[in-house]
Amino acid sequence: MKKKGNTFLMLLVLMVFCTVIGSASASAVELEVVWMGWPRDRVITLIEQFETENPDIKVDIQLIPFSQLFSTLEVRLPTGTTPDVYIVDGPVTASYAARGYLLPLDEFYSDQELAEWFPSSIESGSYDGKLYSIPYATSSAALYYNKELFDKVGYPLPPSDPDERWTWEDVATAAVEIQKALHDMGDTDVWGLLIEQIDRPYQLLPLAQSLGAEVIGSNGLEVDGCINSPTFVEAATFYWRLFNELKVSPQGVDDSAVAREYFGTGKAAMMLGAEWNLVRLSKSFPELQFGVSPHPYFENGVPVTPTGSWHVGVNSRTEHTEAAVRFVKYMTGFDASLLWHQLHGHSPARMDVYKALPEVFDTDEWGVFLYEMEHTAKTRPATPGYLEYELILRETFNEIHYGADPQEALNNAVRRIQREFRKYR
Amino acid sequence: MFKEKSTPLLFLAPAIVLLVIFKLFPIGVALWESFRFTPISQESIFVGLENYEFLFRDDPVFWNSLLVTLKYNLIINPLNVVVALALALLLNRSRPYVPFFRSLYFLPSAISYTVVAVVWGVMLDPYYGLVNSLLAKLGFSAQPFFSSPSQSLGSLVFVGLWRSVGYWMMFYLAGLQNIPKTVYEAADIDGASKWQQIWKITLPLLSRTTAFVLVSSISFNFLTFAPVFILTKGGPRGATNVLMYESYKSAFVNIDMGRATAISSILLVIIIAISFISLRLNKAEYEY
Repeated sequence: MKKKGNTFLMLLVLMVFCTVIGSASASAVELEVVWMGWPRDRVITLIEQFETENPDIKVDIQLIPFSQLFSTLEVRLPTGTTPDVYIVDGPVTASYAARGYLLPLDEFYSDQELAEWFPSSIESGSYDGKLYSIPYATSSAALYYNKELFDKVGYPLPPSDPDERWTWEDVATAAVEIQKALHDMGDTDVWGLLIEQIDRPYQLLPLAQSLGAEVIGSNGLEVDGCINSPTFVEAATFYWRLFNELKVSPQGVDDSAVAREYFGTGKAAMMLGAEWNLVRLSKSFPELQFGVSPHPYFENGVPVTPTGSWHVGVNSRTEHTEAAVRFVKYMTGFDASLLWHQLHGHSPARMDVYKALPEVFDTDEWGVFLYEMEHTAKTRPATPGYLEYELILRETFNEIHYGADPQEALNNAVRRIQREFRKYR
Repeated sequence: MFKEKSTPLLFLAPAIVLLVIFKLFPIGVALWESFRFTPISQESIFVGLENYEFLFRDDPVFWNSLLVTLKYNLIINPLNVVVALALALLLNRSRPYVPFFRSLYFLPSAISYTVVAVVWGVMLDPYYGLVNSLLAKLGFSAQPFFSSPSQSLGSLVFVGLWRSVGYWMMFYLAGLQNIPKTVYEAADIDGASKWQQIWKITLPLLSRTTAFVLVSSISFNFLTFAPVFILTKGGPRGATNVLMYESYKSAFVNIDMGRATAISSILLVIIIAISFISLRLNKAEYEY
């Protein structure tokens, strides 16, 4: 009997203890954050630093792989008060804002603070005149080339001066000739040109924009006459030729990591790729001799490059607005942006980071990307229907690269996108 | 048997309640939704058959998806039946090694489909996959598998078969052991060969099992989603874009509930119709 009483007492003490601990930790706000599925150790470095600086906030960071990120948010945002903070792909800002999933952040930022970011990034985070998402990174694209392969066949290297940049026809000719020469030498598994994001509008829209094609109507909800216009189809036909007629690009390499692997291991002479490859290529393939040439354009057109990247937004239903804003300000601030660049190689959306790291950014390669960001960058279309627009165009480019007729495929895309845009009109 | 007529109903009630809440109610909601159009941040409106009309008249993606789903099922379901039956016939004997092989063939169906898909995705990777390295060792050229429009559906069938055939084999084993020995003894006395016994006795007496396996396999495979989501995302060039995946994309990427629910309602009708037909065709002729 006595023993039983003791056990009971011990349990009681334990319960009281637990309650005390529980209420103590309850005084710290716990923020639920949905984030891109980048390597955990890198993200955690940022989070730990935030928690050290803000002991009253605990961050529950949920890393979701890219392929599931959007559908996860699509399921959670309509009803939940969480996640309090979530990562937003720049062009999707309008979609979330139109549906009331994002908290307007204008009141938390002064004009002086906002001037630190590239104007195109702030534009991409705004909808209907209000600021909804803060830029976390930005991006650009250019032509990577393998110096060794060019030298091996004695082909002149692509220029680094933006005024002398290659046209797409120059690129196609080089790809055909280098690939043929290498095949003749016995390197039969080398390709002329890779497109890192083989079917994503991010990397492909600039082709059409170079020819002057509008990729969406001025109201953001009309694609008929844009993505099936003669100029858009002309650009799509060039893209079709790379895979089906010239056969200088491999079909089905639809993962940017695999494309990088091809290029990094000398299986491709050129790659149209984003700036993040600079860091990743040097880390994974230290032997690789590569250079960067400005983004190609069409001869009768103008140079256009993609830009924009991840932003951070606050759930409009959050119960912890103050803590959430503090977290957003930290993640998009100078220190975290600089650290994230060092950890992951993303190009910062803040100009002050570039100034702070001259030893990194004062190189020929970065020079090309910084020139493009400043002079030729065009943000992706601002439309509340960006998710639908992106998915359908992506499937369409995928079909075209496998040989579908560009005009017919794009006409189908118009019908499908128009239907999905109805709900926003 | 029961004094009160309501007693059996009481026993059935828990199951019926759960079925209504978790099966019939969602089906009803889906049907209701498929006749409506939902603008962003407004109430949905009744649009009659418009969603269906769009699918059948203006939507090449739906047609392709329907075709892919039918093709996939026309291949995998008969294969499931034939291979499961063959395995069961092979393993329906008492030898010391038989239990080992029964477990071996059954094992894959105890693994989650998601895990199966991930593992086979790694093995069939066109660039670094185990299967291609084996093919190379044997002197064959590397195959693209899931990254080729012509091979991806076949690869999907293979993965589906690998995972589920052992499961259906178990039903056939049970069916085989239910057939009375005396029937075979009588056949032996009449001088029937082993093949004749299989064709004239085993297969006809298994028709109930076959009906069950076929219908279950059909309704399972028409709803295939996980391996497509994990391995191919419906590609390449729509070659594996089954209706369930298209419906999912419509609902959660394109936020188009009308189209998504119209697709799943059509799928429901197809499954009911095909199940009904195969049940009819496999109606047991013999009682034993």
